[in-house]
Amino acid sequence: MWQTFPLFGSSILLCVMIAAAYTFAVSVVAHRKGTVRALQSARFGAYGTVALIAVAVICLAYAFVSHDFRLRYVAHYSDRGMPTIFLFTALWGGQDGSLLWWLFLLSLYIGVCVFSLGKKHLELQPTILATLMAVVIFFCVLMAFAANPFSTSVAGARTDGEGLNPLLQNFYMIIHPPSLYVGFVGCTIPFAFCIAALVTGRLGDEWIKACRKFTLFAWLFLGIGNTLGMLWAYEELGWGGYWAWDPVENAAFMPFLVISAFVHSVMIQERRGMMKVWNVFLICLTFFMTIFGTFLTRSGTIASVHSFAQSSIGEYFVWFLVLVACFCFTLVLYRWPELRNLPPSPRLRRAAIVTGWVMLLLLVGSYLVASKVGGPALSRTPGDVMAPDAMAAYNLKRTLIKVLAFSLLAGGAVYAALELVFRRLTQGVKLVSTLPRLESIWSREFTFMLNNWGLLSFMLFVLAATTFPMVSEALWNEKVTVGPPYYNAWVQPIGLTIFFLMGAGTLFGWKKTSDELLKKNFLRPVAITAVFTVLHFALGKRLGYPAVVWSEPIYGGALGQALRAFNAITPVLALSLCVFNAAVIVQEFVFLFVARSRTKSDDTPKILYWLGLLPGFIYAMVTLPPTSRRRYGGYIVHLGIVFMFLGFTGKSWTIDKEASLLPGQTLQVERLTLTYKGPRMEVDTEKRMVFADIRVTENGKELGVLNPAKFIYKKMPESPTTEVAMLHSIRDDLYVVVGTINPQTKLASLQVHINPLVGWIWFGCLILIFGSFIGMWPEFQEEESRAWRFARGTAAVTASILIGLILALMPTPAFAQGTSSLHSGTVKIENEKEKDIFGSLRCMCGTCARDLLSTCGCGEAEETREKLREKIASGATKDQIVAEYAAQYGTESLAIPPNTGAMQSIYVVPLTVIAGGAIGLGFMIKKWRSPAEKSPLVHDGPDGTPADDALEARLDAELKDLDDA
Amino acid sequence: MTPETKKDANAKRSPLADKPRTKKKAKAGEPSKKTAQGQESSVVEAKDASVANPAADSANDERKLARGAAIAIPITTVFASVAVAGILSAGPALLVLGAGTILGTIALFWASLRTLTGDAPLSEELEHASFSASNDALADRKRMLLRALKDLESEQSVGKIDAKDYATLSTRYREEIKELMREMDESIEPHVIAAEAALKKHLSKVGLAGEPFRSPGRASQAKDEALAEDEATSADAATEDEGPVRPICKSCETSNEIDARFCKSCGAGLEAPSIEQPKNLDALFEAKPDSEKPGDVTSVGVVAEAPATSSKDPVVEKASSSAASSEEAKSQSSDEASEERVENA
Repeated sequence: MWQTFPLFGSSILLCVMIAAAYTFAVSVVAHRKGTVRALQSARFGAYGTVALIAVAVICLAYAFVSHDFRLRYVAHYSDRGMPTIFLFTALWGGQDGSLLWWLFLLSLYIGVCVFSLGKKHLELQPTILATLMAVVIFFCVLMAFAANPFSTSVAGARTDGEGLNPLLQNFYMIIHPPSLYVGFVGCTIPFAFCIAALVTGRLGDEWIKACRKFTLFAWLFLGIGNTLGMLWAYEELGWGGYWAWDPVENAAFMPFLVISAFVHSVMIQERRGMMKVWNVFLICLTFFMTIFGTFLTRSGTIASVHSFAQSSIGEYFVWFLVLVACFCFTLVLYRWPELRNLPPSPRLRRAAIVTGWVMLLLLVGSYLVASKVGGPALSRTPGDVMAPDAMAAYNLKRTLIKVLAFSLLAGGAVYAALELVFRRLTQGVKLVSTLPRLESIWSREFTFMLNNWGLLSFMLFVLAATTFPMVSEALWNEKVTVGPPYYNAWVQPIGLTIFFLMGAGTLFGWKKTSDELLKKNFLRPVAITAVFTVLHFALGKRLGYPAVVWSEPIYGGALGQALRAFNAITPVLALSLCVFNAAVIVQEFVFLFVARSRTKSDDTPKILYWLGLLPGFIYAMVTLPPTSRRRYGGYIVHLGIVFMFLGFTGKSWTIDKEASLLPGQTLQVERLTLTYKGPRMEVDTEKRMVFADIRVTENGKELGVLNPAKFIYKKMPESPTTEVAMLHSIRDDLYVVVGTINPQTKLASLQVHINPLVGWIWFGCLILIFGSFIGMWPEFQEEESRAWRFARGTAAVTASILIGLILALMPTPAFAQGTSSLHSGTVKIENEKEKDIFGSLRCMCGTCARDLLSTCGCGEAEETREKLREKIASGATKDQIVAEYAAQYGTESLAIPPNTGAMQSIYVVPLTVIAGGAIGLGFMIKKWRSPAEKSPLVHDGPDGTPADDALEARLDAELKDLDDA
Repeated sequence: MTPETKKDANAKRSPLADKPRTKKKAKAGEPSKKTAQGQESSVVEAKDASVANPAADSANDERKLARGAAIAIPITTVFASVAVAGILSAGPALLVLGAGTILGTIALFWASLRTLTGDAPLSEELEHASFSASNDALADRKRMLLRALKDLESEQSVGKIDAKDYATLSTRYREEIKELMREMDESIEPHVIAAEAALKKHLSKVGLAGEPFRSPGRASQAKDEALAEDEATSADAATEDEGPVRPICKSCETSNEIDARFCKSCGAGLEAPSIEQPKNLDALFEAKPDSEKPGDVTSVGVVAEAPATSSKDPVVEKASSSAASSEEAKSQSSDEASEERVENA
C-alpha cells in the first residue's frame, strides 16, 4: 500500500486514527481501572499521536517542496515558480490542508496539555486524554473520507500546479484561519477538562483551576485572531474599514463572546459553588461554536466572502455536533444531582436521565408527527427546479434550522421538566449550606451575572443575524442578505450596554457593597465622565469630533428613527463610557497602591520605579498573590478593551473623499493638503508596479510622501491589485487608495479616507495581550528563588505568547504575495446620496458573495453603479431605486432584510429571548437570595472556648496558606 | 542518538527487564538475609556485588535510557535536518525531520506498550502516585469558603467593603468554616485515634515515646500519618529494642536527626543531648538506615560494611517472602516514605 508517496501520506493519516483510537482505549482503561500505569501508557500514546500528526504535516510540506503534483491539493495550491516560504504557507491555504493544520495545532495543544498536567490531576487525566483523542479521531475521519489532502488527481500528475491564484480561491481564508485556529483549537482543551470533570464527578473548582491557563490562552488568541483579521482587512483590502460582519468573522467572534462570559462566571463558581450547570453549558457552547463556525465556513451553507467551495464535509460536522450534543446532554443529566449541589443517589440519576431523554424523545416524536400531518404545507420543496447539488444544500439547511429551533425549545422544556421532577424528589432533603447563595444584589457576583447575560445576548443577536439567511430560506423560501448596516445599527446599543456593565461591575466588591461605599466608588468616575461629556458637547465640533452624528435610518418608521437616534448619540455615549471605564480602572489601581503602601506590603525595589513607571508597575503586578494578580491583570485587559472601543468610536467621524488629480494639483481634506506629484513605475520579476506619489502637508509642514499603488501581476494582467498607502497618527489615519492612473494624461483618481482613532484598536489589543500576560503569569514553588522565578515566569509566558503569535502571523507572506481578487478594484462614490443608496444594495454579479455596491470593486458592480447614477440623475428617489433593484434581483439584493412581516423575526426573536433571559435571571436571583431570610445562621459551636480559639487559629493559618493558584 | 543505537537499546532492554524478577524471587526464599527494616532488605541484598540490586539498577538504567532518548531524538533530528537544509535543501531536510519524528513515534508507542504491559518501570514519583478514590466534598466546600473569606479580606484592604458588612460577613463565614472543620474532624476522629495508637506503639519501639507528633487540631495531617502508619506497622512491627535516640530541642520540642547539632525548626543549639548520643562512627551507621533510601548506591556500600543488624522477625520474613519483587520494592519505598513522615511530624 505504500508504494507511492501519496499513499504513504494517506496511510499516515490512517495511522493517526489508529494511534488515537489506541490512546483513547488505553485512557478509558486507565479511567475504569484507576491505574497509574495505564495512564502513563496513555500519556505516551498521546505523545505518539502528536508526533504522528507532525509526520503527516511534514509529509504534506515535503510534497509541496518537492512539487509532487500527483497530489491534487499540491497541484491546486502551488506551482513550480513559488518561493519555498510560500510553499509552506500553502499548507493551510485550502480546505483539506487547513483541516490538517487544525489537527496539527490541536496536537500541539495536546502535547503541551499532557506535558503540563504531569503528575497533577491524575483522576482527570484519563478522561481528558480520551476526549481529546475522540476529537482527533473525528478530524482523522473527516480527512480520510471527505477531505484528504493526500488524495491524488484523477487525471494523474500535472507538469505544473495552479499556484496560489487569488482569482480561483478566496485569499481571505489564508489569513484568518491560522490566527483564529490557535484560539479555536484552544477551546477544545477546556472542553476536555469539563468532560473529564463530568465523567469523574469532580465538579468542584478543580477542573476550572486546572484548565484556567488554557482557557485564558484560547481566549487571548481568539481576541488576537479577531484583531489580526481586522488589521489585515484594514491594511490590505483597501475599502477603508476593518470589520464587515461577515458570517465567518461572526463565527470567530461568537466563541470569543461565550468564552469571555465563561472566564467571568467561573469566578462565581470558585467562590460560591453555584452556577455549575451554567459553566458546563458555557464551555460546551464555546466548543460547539468553534465547530459550528468551522461548519459555517466549510459547508458553504451561508454565502460569505470567506466561503470555500461547497463540499460534503458540512454533513460530517453536523453529525459530529449531534454526537457531541447527545453525549454532553446525557453526561450532564447523569451528573445533575451534583451539579445542583444535591446529595447524589442512583434514584436521582435515573430520574434525571429518564426525564431528560423521555422529554426529548417525546418532543422529537411530537414534532415528527406534527410535520407528517402538516407535511405538504410545511415543505414547499422546489425540487423540480433545483439541481441535485443545490437540492442537497437546501435540504441540509432545512434540517439544520429545524435542529437549531428544536434544540432551543427542547432545551427549555427539558430544563423545566428536570426542575419539576427534582423538586418532587428532593422535598425535605437538607441542603449543604445555610448561607444565602447571594448576600446582596449590590455585589460583584450579580454584576458578573449581568455581564454573562449581556455577552450571551450579544452572542445570540449575532447568531440570529448570521443564521437568518439560512432560516429565511428554509422557512419562507426567501433569500435575504444581512449586511453590515443591520449589525452596525443594532449592535451599538447592545455593545455599549456591555461596555457600561464592564466599568460599573468593577466598582462593586464581592459579596456586598453598601450604598455609601457605592456612592463613594461611583462618585469620581461619574464626575470625571460628566465633565468630559460637557466638554465633548462644547468642544467636539470644533476639534472635528462632534458629539452627535446623524446618519440615514436603516428602516422607515418609528423603529428606524429610534435606532437612528441612538446611533446619533453613540459617539458621545461611547466616548463618555470610555472615559468612565478608564477612570474606574485607574481608581482601582489607586486603591490597590494606596492599600499596599498603607500595609507596607509593596516590596517593589525602588530602583525599578526610578527606571520608569512601567518596570516598577510590572514588578508590582507579577508579585501580587495569584488571585489579585488575575484580578488586576483583568483590569488591564479591560483597559485594552477601552482603547479598542475608543478606536471603534472613531468610525463615526470617518471622512471619505474622492478626487481625480493631475500632477501638481492638490486636494484639501480637512486639515491635510495632498499634492499629487505624479505617477512612477517599477518592475520586478513578478509584476509591474505603478505608484502615485502624493505629498501630504499640514499647514505647510510636510508630514510625508504616500505611494498608493496598483500592482499588475504577470500571471493576471487583467486584475491589478490595489496597494493602500497610509499615514498613521494617534489622532487619525490618512488612508489613500489609487483607483486608476491614466498612462497618457497621468490623471490619477484617488480615494481618501480619514479614519479617526483607528490606531487605538491595535494599541488596545497590545494592552489586552499585556493584561493577559499578567493574568497568565505562572505560579511558582515556594522553594524557588525569586530571580529564578522571574526568569522562568518570563520565559514561560513569553515563549507561549510568542509561539502563538508566530503561528498567528505566519500567513503574512501568503497574503503579501499576490492578493488580487475580485474585490480589488476601487469604488467611486460621488456624493452622500449615492453612498446611501449603494450602501443599501448588494452586488449581484454572482461571485461577490456578500459585498455591498458601496464596497464591491468588481467590474459588474461598477456597471451597476453607473446605471444607478443615471437613475439618480433622472431624479428617482432612494425608495424607488431600491424597490426597482429589489424587484429585479429579489430580496437578497438588499443589504438588510426588509422590515416587514416574517422578516422582522430577525430582531424580534433574539430580543424576546434576551428579555426572557433577563426575567429568568431575575427569578434566579430571587431564589438565590431567599435562604438568608428563611434561615438565619444558627451557630451551635461554643464561642470563646479554648476549642473554638484553636479552630480560629487553624482557620487563620489555613487562610494564610490558601493555595489559590 | 542514531536510530541504530536506539533500536539496540530497546533490544537490550527486554532481557534486562525480565532478569530481576527471577532473581528477586530466588532472594525471597532466603530469609536469613533479611534485615529488620524493610529498606534494609534491599541493602543486604546488595551485599553480593555481582547481583547488586538488579531490579532497581535495570529500572534506573531504563529510566535513564528513556530520558536520554526523550532528549536525544528531538535534538538530533532537529540538528540533522537543519544541517541537511544548510547543505542540501529544504526537501531532504523535511525528509530527515519526518524520519526522526517517525522514530520518535515508534519509541513513544514502544514505551506506551511496554508501560501498559508492565515491562517498563514507572518513574519514581509516578510509582507512588495513586488515584484518589473520590473528591472530598467537605474539603471542597471549605476551600470555597476560605476563598470567599480571603476575597472579603482583600476587598477590605482596598476599601471596597464597609467595615460593618465586613464584620458581619466575615463572622458568618468564619462560623461556617469552623462548623465544617468540626464536622471534618469528627469524621476522621476514629482514624486519628487509630493512627495515634499505632504511632505511639512505633515511637515507643524506637525509643521516642512521649514525642509530640501532632500539633493540636491538625487532623488532616494526622489522617495522612494514620494512613502511612497503617502500612508502616505491618512491616515495621519488629525493630531493635534499643537504639540511638533522637535529640529533642529544648526550646521548641522538635525531634531532630541523631547527628544534628542545631535544631532544624528553631535553630537552637543541641550541644547537650538529653539522652546519650552515639559516640563513634559505627554506632552512627548502625542507626543511619532510618533515613537511608533504598537503591542509593553509596549508602548501600557503607551500610554493607557496617555490622549487620539483622533480626529474624517472622513477620518481616513472611511479608517479604510473599511479596513479588515489584510489590516489595513498592512497600519498601512506602515504608520509607512513612518513616520520613514520622520523622518530620
